[in-house]
Amino acid sequence: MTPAQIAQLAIILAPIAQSIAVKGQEIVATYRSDLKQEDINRSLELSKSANWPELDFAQDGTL
Amino acid sequence: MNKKNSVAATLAIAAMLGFLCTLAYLAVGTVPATNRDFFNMALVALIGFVGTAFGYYLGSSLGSAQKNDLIRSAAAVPAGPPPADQSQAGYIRLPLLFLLAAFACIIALTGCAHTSATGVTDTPLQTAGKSLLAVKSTIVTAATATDNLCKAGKLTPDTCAQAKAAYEIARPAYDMAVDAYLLYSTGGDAADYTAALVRVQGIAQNLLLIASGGAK
Repeated sequence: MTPAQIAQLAIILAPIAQSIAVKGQEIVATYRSDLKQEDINRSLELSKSANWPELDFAQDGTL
Repeated sequence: MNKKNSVAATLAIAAMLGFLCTLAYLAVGTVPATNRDFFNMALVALIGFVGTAFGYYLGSSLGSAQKNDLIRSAAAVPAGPPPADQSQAGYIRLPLLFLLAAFACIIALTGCAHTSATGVTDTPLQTAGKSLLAVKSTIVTAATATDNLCKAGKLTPDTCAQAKAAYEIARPAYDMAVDAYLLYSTGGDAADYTAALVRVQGIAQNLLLIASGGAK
């Protein structure tokens, strides 16, 4: 890989890695927190798919 | 073997060793019931690794790579670095292997957090609710990462279409699982909740497999 390709890959992967790390920390925090049943039920209501990001999986870029 | 292929070979050997070690563990040991869901997700991710490696070495990619090496060595190559050959699977699948490795880390972290949370005394119902929240995080993070790879042109159009379909299926499936859990928490049927959870976990795993198998 050329340095330009490595840089391009790093630009793509860096935010993905960051979001994965953040989500991983959230999951760990959730498991270790002493949530009451009402808190879990409320969190699940808020986590329903109406609040998920709208993704179109469109191909805007090129290789 | 050039540097690019040596990276692919190292990753393939690591994936195969991990897979064989997991099989060996399953042959002599038992997975704790509390970790079974996480173990299943990690095993599917590992199978994705091995499948990608087999696809490279036993599919057309290795032959294509060797052909390209032969053409490159036969032709008079001018001074300077050779042009990037993106048809080599060892080159373009690296970001996807990275993505799978990252999700494997999340799953491992989740399992560790689950088993080492000694200060928290959750009931099985609370643990089930936390598992459902973790599944949602996995789906949304995987879908967002796949969407980014599609926008960067790193996945084939077919793969992006499949990922979109899986994401659209995952949304109502997750809502159904949440509803089943809420019913379960108020005295409903545990089997309904378990069935809904298994379904949504399967969709999450499919999303990861779609991304791992769709490199250009």
